[in-house]
Amino acid sequence: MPISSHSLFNASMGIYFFSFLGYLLWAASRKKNMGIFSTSLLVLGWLIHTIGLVIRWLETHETGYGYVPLSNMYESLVFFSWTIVLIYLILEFKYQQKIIAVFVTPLAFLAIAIISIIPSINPTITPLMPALQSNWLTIHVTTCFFGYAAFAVSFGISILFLIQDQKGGSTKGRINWLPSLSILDEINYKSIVIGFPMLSLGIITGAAWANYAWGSYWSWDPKETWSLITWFIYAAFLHARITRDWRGRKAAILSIIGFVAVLFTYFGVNYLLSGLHSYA
Amino acid sequence: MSTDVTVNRKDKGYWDILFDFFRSINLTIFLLILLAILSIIGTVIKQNASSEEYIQRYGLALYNVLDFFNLFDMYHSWWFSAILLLLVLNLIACSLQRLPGVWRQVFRESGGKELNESVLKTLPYVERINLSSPRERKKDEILSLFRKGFRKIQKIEGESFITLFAEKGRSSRLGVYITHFSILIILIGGILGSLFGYRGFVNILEGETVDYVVLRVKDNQVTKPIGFSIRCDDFRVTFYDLQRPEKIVKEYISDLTILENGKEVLKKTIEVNHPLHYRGLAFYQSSYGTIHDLTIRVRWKDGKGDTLLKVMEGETVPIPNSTALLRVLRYSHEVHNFGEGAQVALLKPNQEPRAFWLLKDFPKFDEQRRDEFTLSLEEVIEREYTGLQVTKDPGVWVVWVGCGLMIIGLVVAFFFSHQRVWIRIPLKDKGEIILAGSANKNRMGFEGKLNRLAKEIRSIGLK
Repeated sequence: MPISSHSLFNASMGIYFFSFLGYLLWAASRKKNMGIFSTSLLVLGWLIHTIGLVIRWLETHETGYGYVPLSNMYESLVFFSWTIVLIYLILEFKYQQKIIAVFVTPLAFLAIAIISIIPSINPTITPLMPALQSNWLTIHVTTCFFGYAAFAVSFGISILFLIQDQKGGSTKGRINWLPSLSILDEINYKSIVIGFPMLSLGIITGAAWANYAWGSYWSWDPKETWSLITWFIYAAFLHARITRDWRGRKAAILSIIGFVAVLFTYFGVNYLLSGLHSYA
Repeated sequence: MSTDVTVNRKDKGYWDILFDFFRSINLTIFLLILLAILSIIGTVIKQNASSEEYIQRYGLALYNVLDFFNLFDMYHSWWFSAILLLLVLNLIACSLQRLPGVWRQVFRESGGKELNESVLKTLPYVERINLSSPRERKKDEILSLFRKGFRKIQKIEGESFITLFAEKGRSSRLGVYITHFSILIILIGGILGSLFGYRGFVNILEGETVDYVVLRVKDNQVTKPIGFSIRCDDFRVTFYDLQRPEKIVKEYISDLTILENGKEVLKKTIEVNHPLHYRGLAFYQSSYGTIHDLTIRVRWKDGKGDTLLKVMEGETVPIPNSTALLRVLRYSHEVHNFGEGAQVALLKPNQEPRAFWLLKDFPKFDEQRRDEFTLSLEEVIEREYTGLQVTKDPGVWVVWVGCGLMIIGLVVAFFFSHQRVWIRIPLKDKGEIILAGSANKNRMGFEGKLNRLAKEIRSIGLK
């Protein structure tokens, strides 16, 4: 392979960072061209990222034991970053609220930057252990990470919501460069509406896979339990949104707590707790 | 008479209070958050380990406290189940309260009403359009614009207006209830599994046949007959061809044969992720190992001759012509550079058992024990066994049906909305066209759609 996937991932990491700076400048200046420039950069970074994923997949096949590259921490982080950008771009396209990017692009950048920062995250392609040789792996990881990414976007929106809400007591103090609370609430709901079915599907496909590999669809292993905890929190969010007392501020806080649970499900369980998922 | 009435009212009052409590959405939120917080405990405290392990880690006092609250098996504890049950009651109460109304809404005869002022007040989206050209003649053009977004359009001709009405996605209101129902189905599947299913394991030596599985009950193991036999014909491990000395396991494979009354009925090769299903049981490749068949010679000192004993690792056999029992504790390839050996113990009545080593290359090693007989290790045969996880779960299909329903329910609930749109066209040439509607979800998207429709209607007025 003339270009390694790793170098492409590094390139998109750099582009994401500049795109983030671009969005910051746009937020400060409100120059339309700056916004278009930042979004174009983000799209460019994402396209390079996508090519990188395809090359990574080809690379696994070159070694003679090809697999869909979603099987270790390195690959999952790369994919996580990719899904965050994808879901953000979809929402930007639909709702034209670029300000969300100020809080979301850093997450996409961080996810892909960690692979270079933490030395124990190894880019080497190693063959899959028997339990991971399953088509369920691909669909399980894909759905989970789309869910995680949608929750990451919702996390960014919820922070914006709280900032706007803080200043929004009187209409005068309102930050006029932020979208209105109702728009933020709507987009927040939209991203969770993507995330929640994806997480549910992720948990279900994980259960189906566990049933094939270990003979039990649910064994309360820490990763499973934490994904269920995350599911409970977002289920609470969805119900909170339809009641008067919980709408708005409290729901936004629930979404932030939910994303903390996502991060713990993803990293905390692997590094702090032990269980069946200790390989990924 | 009057007392009866008050008693009734009072009863009804309590009942109402109870029902109000169970159907409140605040209870739902509270229970979901409570479940999220409590579930953390079981990920920090290891679940279902042996009591020795817990006592070693936490000490006896803390062990007793934690055990009292079922924290070593918390997800199956009475209190965790009770919270789940509360959530189920909450879910049923909510559905009972709302479903009949929604059901009527979904399954009533579709019939548009005229758009009068009282209906108009309830609609969140109202757009008034003034056209310069005669309205009546534009009716068909408006109708065809309307058709782009909605298939079935009703025409209601009134005295002074023609009202066009369309709706779609009525059944999307059921999505929430499908999702809630799916949770009940999944829980029922789980309960069926725990009532009528079990999880066990069995190790089968290559060439051997078993007709039981082993269940772990607390700290003990019990065997359970399964009503048929299963034989392991071969077990093997394959490795990736890496073109370097490193070895990485590619697959663990067992060739299994099912026998009914001694007759072979099914042959299947299983590996991780590819189990064998037979008569409601599933056999999963989960581990493997080797066990050693040992031949031990017992030589009597007073010339009574000698005997050969066949014994497997872990087994205990009586030594003939004596009251002693011999137990083989373990086999080792290399005992302190002396080569192969086996650690054994002699169990004699009224004596503390002693463990000592027999070395294959030093048959006289045991003479130092100065007993009435000496033991020596004659032969070692290594045999592989496959370790199978065996489960019976009659509820698993119920769970999958529930999971499927849940996904359908979530998609319907989140991605479809019930939309109703009216267009009121005045029969007289003067007067405004009213475009109005409501959607129970995705209001922003719905408004965008109606705004586009309004723009299109305006543009025909310009022609």
